[in-house]
Amino acid sequence: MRIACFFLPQFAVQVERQWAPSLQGKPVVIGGYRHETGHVHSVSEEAAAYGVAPDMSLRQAYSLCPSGIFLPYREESCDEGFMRVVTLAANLCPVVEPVPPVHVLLGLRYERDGLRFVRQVLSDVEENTGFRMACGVSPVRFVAMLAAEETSEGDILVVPDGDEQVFLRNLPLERLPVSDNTVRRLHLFGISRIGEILTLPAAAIEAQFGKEGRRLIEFAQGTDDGRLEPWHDDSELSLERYFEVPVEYMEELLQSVEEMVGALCAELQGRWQCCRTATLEVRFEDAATLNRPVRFKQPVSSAPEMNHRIARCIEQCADMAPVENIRLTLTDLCAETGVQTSFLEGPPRAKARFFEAVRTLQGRYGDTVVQKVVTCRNGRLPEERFAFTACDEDRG
Amino acid sequence: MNKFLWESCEIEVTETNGHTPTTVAYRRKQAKVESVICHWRINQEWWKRPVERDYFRVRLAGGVVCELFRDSSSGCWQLQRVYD
Repeated sequence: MRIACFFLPQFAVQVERQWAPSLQGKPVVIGGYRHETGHVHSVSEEAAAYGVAPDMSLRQAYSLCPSGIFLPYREESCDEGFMRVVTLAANLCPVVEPVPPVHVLLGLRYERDGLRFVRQVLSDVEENTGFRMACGVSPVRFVAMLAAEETSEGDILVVPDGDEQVFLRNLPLERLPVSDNTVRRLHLFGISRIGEILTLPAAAIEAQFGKEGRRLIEFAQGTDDGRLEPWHDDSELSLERYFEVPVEYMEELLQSVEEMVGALCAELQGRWQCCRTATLEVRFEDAATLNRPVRFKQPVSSAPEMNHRIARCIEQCADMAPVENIRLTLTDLCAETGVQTSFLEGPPRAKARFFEAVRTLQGRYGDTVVQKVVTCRNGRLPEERFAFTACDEDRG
Repeated sequence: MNKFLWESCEIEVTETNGHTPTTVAYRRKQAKVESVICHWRINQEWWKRPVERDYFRVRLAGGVVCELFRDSSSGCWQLQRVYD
């Protein structure tokens, strides 16, 4: 799977500039006020032109750039801005992994034209949040992250499949996500570029650095498992409806609930999410309330399926006072993902689990829902080269 | 990987005089045929179910590769396979 990494360069500066647009075009140094004893966290391009760099002491930064505007690092504002970017990305792509504070990884598995999609994400994020990003694309997540940092704002750097080592070869060791001590020790060995790690014997690196040594080799080779851990939005979705004239008739109530479920499910599907729990809160005219959580056996985003369960709760209100207010809340939201696996080639226990799953599906949806594909050697037409047969344990 | 359409779905195709597809319309979207990757014909024996089809594996504008065929008896075009 190809991975797109979006990097927010000088993010703390971008956040401050959103709060105070008058900072645009001025040298800004984030990390603290100039009289404080601290270190620089982030600098604008204008301040960087004076030689100010992150991790430098604030006093040194002030001596280099006396006209700079020194501001404290506001972590909460940065986190909030970062989550705005992540939420927007999650609306555009089903596989999103945030790597705080400034990287967001997107899986491009579902995109036929990855580059066009990446351009769209860049422009959508800038349009909706005002943040400018850079993007790197590679099948290796670590390489995608470095590529994003290497390119400039608004640009995309694609590292073709197989060219990871070439891309990494001349990058300095400090770009590796390893401890400072490891970098220092590698410098003592005369290694200053990532590509030079591969000149040392792998066994010697492992003997010297242990587990980190193994990671060093993987980094230098430009390999990793390329997996993303999809981000789960823990938020909830809810919809409330007030009735000016309290509703007395069940049909009207059911229709209102059906509309609410339809609207919530549309929003859920738009976010590529499902929910596990729906909570129905009903307030009656006589001030009585009904609070009924509905837990679904499996995550659901289909309106008819959800409505079927919720309608049964509503029907319990038949003998009660007219309804004034209904609130429906969807919680335990989860990603709409599935895992493809091979059961039949595994150990006998896996095979038993497979047939158990088949029996459950057949019991729920009918015998024809799972069928086995068999090859027909005599068929000349493509549709005659395969046939479906019943899938049961006896036939294997 | 490819998706095989078990029940082929009828599509609108504009073709040259030699019945080579030039544009394909599917689900209200039209795409130009960029190149024909390969072409073959299947004739099935008349005593089974007489079938004569011209198959084309084509690359559409946008990169989609699919397999379509023209039924020579009816002149209809059908989509049979879409490649990843």
